Amino acid sequence: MHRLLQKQLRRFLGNDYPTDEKLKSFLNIIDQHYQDVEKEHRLMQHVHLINNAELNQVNERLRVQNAEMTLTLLNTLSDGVYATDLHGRLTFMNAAAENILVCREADMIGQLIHEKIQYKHIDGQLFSNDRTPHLLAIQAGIPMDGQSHFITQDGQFIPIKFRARPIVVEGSITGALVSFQDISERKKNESFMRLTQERLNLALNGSNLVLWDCDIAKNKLYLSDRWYLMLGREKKEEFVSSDAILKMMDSQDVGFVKSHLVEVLKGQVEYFSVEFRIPKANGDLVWIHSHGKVVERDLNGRALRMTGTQSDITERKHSEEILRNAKETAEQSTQIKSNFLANMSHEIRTPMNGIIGMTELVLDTDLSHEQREYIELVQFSADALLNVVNDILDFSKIESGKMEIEKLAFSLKDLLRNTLRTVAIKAHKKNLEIILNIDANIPTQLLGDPGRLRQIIVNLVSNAIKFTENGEIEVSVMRIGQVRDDSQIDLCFRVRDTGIGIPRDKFKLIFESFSQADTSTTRKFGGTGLGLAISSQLVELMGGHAIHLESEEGIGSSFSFNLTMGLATSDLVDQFQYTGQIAEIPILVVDDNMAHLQQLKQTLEHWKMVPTVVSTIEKGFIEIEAAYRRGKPYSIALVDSQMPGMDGFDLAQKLRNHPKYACRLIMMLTSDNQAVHIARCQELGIASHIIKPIVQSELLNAILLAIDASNQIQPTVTQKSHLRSENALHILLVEDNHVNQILAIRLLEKLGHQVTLAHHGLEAVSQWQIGKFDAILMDVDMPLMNGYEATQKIREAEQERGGHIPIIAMTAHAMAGTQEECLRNHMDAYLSKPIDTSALSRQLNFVEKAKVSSSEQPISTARELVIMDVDQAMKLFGNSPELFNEIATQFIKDVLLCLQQMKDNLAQDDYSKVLQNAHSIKGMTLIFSAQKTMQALTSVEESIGQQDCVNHVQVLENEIHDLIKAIQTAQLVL
Amino acid sequence: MQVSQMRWTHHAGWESSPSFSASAQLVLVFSNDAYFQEELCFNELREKFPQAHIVGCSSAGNIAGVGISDSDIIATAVQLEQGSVRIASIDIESGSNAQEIGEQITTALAAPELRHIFVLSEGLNVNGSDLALGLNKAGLPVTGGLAGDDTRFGKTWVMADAPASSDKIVAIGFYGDLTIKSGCFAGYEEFGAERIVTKSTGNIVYEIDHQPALSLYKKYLGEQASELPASGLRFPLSIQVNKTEMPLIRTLLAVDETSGSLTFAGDVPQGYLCKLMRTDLDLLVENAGMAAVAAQPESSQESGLCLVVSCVGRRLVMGQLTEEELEEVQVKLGSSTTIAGFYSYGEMAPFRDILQCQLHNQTMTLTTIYE
Repeated sequence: MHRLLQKQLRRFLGNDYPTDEKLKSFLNIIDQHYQDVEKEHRLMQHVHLINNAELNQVNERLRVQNAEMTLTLLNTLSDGVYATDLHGRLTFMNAAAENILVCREADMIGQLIHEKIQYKHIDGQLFSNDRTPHLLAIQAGIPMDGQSHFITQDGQFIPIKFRARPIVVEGSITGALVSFQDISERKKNESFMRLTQERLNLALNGSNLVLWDCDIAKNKLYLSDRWYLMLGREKKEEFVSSDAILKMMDSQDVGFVKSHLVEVLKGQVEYFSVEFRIPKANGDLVWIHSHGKVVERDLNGRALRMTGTQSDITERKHSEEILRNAKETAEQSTQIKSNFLANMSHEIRTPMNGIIGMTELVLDTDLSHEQREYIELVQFSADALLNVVNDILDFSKIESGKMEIEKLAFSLKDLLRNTLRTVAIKAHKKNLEIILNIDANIPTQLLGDPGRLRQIIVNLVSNAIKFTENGEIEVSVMRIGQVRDDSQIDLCFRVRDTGIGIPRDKFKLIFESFSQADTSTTRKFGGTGLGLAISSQLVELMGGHAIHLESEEGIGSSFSFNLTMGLATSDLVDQFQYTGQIAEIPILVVDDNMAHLQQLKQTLEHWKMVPTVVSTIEKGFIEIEAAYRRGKPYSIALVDSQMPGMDGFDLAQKLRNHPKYACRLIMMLTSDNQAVHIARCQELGIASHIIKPIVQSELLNAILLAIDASNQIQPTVTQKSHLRSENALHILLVEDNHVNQILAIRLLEKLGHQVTLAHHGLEAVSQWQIGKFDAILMDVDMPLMNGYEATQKIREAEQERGGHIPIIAMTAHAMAGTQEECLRNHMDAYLSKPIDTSALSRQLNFVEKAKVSSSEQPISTARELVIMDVDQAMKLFGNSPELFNEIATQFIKDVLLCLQQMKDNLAQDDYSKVLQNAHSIKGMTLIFSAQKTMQALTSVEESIGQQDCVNHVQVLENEIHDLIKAIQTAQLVL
Repeated sequence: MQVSQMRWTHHAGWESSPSFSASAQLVLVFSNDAYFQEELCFNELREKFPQAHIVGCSSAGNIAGVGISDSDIIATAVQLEQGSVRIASIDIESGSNAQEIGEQITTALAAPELRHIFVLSEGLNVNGSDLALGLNKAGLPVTGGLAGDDTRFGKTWVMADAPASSDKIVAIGFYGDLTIKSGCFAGYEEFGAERIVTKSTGNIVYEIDHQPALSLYKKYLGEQASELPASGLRFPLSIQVNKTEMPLIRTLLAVDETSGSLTFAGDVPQGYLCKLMRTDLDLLVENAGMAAVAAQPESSQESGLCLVVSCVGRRLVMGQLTEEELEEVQVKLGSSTTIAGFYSYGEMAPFRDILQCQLHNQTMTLTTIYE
């Protein structure tokens, strides 16, 4: 029982108080409460002690942290700080103060600071204790600022700026805190500044420059005195506003100056630099060049201050203008000159086209020996003249800097092979051998300007042929060094001959325009003497050094040049899709591996060849025989060398026994045992071989090689026998020049095509609208409407009536970009005049093929056509039922009228009226997307003048009635 | 509204049932006697109140009027005139998420007429803070409490139209034309240094100010350290995410000597600021009165029901004087309001009617229902 309760019980009830059960349990409850209360009391006392200790600890920690923080702060300051008691004895000094005063706090604590650092003046007089910063502050009881000097512990006087504060603790001053800065640097700077200012003023006075300084916020502009001198004006105020200057400025210049100023203020442009005119007091205009920059910005980047200079540039402006006028005049005359040349070139080419084309046609006819000789001479002269024109044009382009070098992907091997093929004929006539030697390490695909490279090679080789009587001409390309950055390669091109050679003293001369080694040469060999000059400049334009010449008289010459070319990654194949070199050539493929066979077939078809695939040699031979009998022999067969049973070599053997098949083989070899197989290939006279796995470009090369070989065996069949009636095209020829008209018509008719002539674009469009053509050959430059405009009109019309007619441009413009211009104007192909017969024939072949393939497709039958495509029609009506209603009602009225007229016309055999009415109906039907009616109309148009025309008109009538019904139904529904 | 209370004791069994027992809609049962856990107990109640939802939980002291009793069962039968009640109960499976349960309950009770949710939950394993988050989805006032187990912290029981079970949460939805208010006040004050919870997961605190949490409590409890965890109720922990947010009170539930950790009756997130709290009798009684004022009816004449959920910690501090807080409540609410309830391991209520329900400790939480 709780001791207090026991005590209380004894006190009130005596020592032996009665303890019955009821009282006992009551006392127990009371006792429990006493115990609880005491326990609670003890707990709270304990908590109090613990809590107290804990809070003390926290306090102490904070105090120490504070002190440390304060010390750190003070020691971080660059200003010196010290504290003293009321008497001026040092109680604290920070690290900066120790540094400035060259002392240690420990040595100074408790000492009178006056006696240590401020006991005398610079002149030696004693420094009064009362004037020390700390005592000033203590005495005044308020903060004190000022300048004075301290003496360091090594005896130096230093100028200082101080700030002293009394330390106040609970209302009474207990000492002072002094912070100070060593201002000796600043003092030095101040005198330096003064000197600089003096120098600047002297310099400004000595020069022509005006100094200006603008406080942008306050819009106050300071201008040095020279400004007023320059303008002959009087200085009235120290500052002017910038608006005042802008107001004085010549009104033409204000706009630009203002907008430039805004750019500079915004920080878009760093330097302010403008030229403007401002009138002097006497009214004369002075040209001023003002130059400056923003030298101060606020935190948000807003410009606060700008300074700069201004100078009088009137003299300079004057001479500039003279120069500019002279330059403009010069440029104008150059422009006139080059335009004249371009025009001349065009004017000369047009008749040349006639001469060359007609000559070709004449040569194709039966001529007497004498006549043929004369005409061949005409042809030769015309070719020469064309070359001269081309040279002059190139030369003028180079001279006027208009020659553009392209960067295209091309195959170097193909380019050189094709190039040499064109000149080879001349060489072979002189019994000269032409050797092409290309370094095997040169990648096939390069980036450069193949056209210009070809031009250079043609020029050099033509020269070589010209000046070589016997021996050989070698064209070689060697790689110099390694491929750089995986993208560039250095090549050395060389054309070597065994000709007459060039004397050393003429080396330089021959590269100059209009000159050859000997003036007599021109007479003897012909030519403009421009070729080498052009080639040499082209090499330079392509990034090479000039053409290098080595030569010895009587032994030969060697022209070489180096070029850096890019490596192209694009697929070689693409190029050949358009060259048509291998297109349409039938090729037989023999391989026992079906997957391989399939893959080859796809590749060859992709190249537009006509592959036939078989899986055994036996079948292959049967196919070759069959093709021969069909009259379409295979000129190439691609054969696997290793096959079960008979293999590729067996086929080669067999073909050797049947030379009439004239089929060249390409052997596909496996990489094992290569040497033996290659030897066998040569032994059997196999055209070319490739190693499996087959790389597309190698396959293509092999095919090209084989074609070359087969061409050599079988001289190309003369084009003149190519008269064809099947697949003949109806061509719309659009040409204004009479000679060219006749030439083109003859050429096309010779190729078996039917030609309709239009004299200009306008006529072309109307002809196209009424006629039915497979292609249009379109001259570009024509009166009334040129080729581009006509094409535009046709393409627009096609948008509505559907279809796409191939349009091939013909132009005498040889300037770069013409081809792009044609394609941009929605033409499909481009031929340059004089028209190259084979190029024309190739283009038309494509059109023919397209025509055949489209006619092979079942023409969409009437069943599939709809009477009216309501959705499509509504789209055209802008989804407005009202509009549909209105137009439909009008249509029904008009169309029935036209139909009746057409029937009347037919009865009177007036077919042109029939056609006219068909056109009218077509025009009004178009908007209803009525396919069946449109088809019926086309049939009527096509049958004009024929007996069955009446039937087609009947069909048309039925269709129109169906359409009207459909329209009326739609009117109800919509 | 009719309210009537009846008591069960070992020696006398059940007192007589009220006249409306056949039609009573709700019977609230609180007990810290083992009989509460038996099937027979529920069956007897079901027989007496065939229509009613019988809902209750184990306690750390049972409240009838201003009296607190132990080792008995107090049943309070309610017959509403205007409103109606529905209950939703969910068995807790191991690993289930208390917030999801809260959401499920609100979904089950949802109806346009729903006015208030009163929830009773298992008191030791359910994360009351998460449960409150889930219940708040209802967008209605939610009050209630966590079941108790005297000062043993061993096992708690919840009854919901079935014999009591240990893994259950039950919620009563009050519907219709009822006025329900609540008040929630503690009466503890912070003392001593401000500390930071430096290591905790959920409701387990490992370190405070980088010291084992248990050592802090042992230091402050002194000779009473041996009575942990019950003696730990003397110093609840005030926690707050920062100085501007309202602090919450967390009561100690258990200690772990090996890890030196403390388990509280609610989450104590790491990084929270914390302070020890203490109280005394006067403060507690005064705050009980404040809770009553908050839950006061418009007029003291109205008859109604006041559900009391008061923290076991308060009872430990006040000892024999505990009933004073109930007397204070009765004075403030008027004599026409019947008081029923229990001493709990945690209280659920918003601080104010407009705020979201949260888990509290050491509070006197009142829910008053008037028609």
